Amino acid sequence: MAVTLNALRRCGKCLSRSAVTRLSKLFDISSVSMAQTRSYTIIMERVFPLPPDKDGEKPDISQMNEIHKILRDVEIVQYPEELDCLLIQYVEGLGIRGDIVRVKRSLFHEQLFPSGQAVYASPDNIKELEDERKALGIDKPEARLGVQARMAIKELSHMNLEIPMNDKEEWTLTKEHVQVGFRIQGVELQEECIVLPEEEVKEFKELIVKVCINGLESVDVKANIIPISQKYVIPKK
Amino acid sequence: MEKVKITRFMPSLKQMKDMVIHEVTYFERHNNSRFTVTSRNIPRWGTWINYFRSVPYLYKWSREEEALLPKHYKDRCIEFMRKEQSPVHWRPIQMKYRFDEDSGERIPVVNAPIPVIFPKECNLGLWGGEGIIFGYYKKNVPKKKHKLPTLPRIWHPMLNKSVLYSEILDRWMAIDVTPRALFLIDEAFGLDFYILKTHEVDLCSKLGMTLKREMLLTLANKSFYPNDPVKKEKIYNKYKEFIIPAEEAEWIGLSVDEAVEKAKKLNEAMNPTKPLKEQYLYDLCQKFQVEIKH
Repeated sequence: MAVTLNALRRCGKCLSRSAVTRLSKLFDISSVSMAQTRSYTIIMERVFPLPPDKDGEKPDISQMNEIHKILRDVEIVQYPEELDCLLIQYVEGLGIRGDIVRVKRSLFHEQLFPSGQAVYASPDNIKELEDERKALGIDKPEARLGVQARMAIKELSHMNLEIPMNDKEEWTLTKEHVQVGFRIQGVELQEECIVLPEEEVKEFKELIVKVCINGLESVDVKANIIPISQKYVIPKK
Repeated sequence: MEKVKITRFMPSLKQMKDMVIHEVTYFERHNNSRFTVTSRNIPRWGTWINYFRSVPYLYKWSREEEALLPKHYKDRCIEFMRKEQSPVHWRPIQMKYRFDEDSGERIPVVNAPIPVIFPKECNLGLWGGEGIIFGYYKKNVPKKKHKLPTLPRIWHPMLNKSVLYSEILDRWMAIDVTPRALFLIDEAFGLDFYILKTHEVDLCSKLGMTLKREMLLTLANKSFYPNDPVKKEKIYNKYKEFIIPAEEAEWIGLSVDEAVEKAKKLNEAMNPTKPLKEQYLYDLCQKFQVEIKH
């Protein structure tokens, strides 16, 4: 057993270097001076592997020396930063009730879970929400309004629409005029989803225009008809 | 010359560094150094069950106490002392033998865990089996490799306070957790499942065991959500598999001192001590054949 002897001899040096009585003092100093934090578990390996017993099993205490203290870090196990979670409420920019989304772990632990907006995506929780959806009579989850539609609704409800009209000729308001007004402000939509008020409009005044989204929900948009000369003033030379 | 006693001695920073780097030479030359540098009392070896496995707490009882304690409690304690922890800081080698580089000799592999220290603070939070490792360290700079000294070093886990919710107790708690423990909680879908599913050996903290006892007691007594019968049924069906009788659940996670006190109280309630004067009076009345009137 030349090998084990060699290992033991090297270990003898270590023994002399670190006597047992003085370890506690070293322990405290080094913990202060070499403080380090980490967000992963470290996996260690012995530099000199343990010599086995006579029967090839774990050695006695008498055979154990300071060998086990000499370690070498081999591997670092980093935990994933993201996590699947199931939303209970509508969260802006993320999703609606019943969506499974992938978010950062810290966001889930600090915001979504304590405020009751999301839960773990366990099979029990998923099954519960699916049953609830089927009881309401919705076959597919895509039949509802998504996140983008919700955000569009929110933006439209805060909007002040300006419809420029000619102030020299007579006119009646049509859907095309409203569509142009939307296009000037950066919103593109089809004529089908615009609903005008029942009375015909022939004057400059404030009114409310309804906009249907996906044929499911409608939003009220504040509109104001103004003369075109007021909006686009031609500079005089 | 008069002898001067050093009442107080603070080492300078340079001396402190010398002590760390040339630890042996300093203390050999200064045998009578009075000062000790101790900021925290961490037990040096932890508390050991065998030489390879350290634990945050121990179960020990005398022969007199053994008769008092119930059997299921003792069985759980013995299982805790004997069972080995699942590997956290090391990887078991699956090969049976290894070949030595120098001689080419075939040597059987010993799969022994790396010794880890569990301090007292381990019992106040959920560490997920992690602990403090004590070892030596050398900087890995290829140019200076032979010049650099090996230094003692400690690897300790990072602790963060995070807010956890238990569904059975209906309670929010701020607990110190490691990233590993948080990861395990997420994998088990919640704090309740994590604490109920994992064994005492892997849980490795007293706080976890007290939570386990409270949860099992509330499950056994059905004392959760008294005002909401719909939610009561839902949670009862969710955690149906973990239910054990309330008499056993009271004992889980108790330390031996607490368990012995409890056993003595139970014993007194079962067999109340009679005062001697009553017994003597009873004997005397029997002797003279007189009826007792209270």
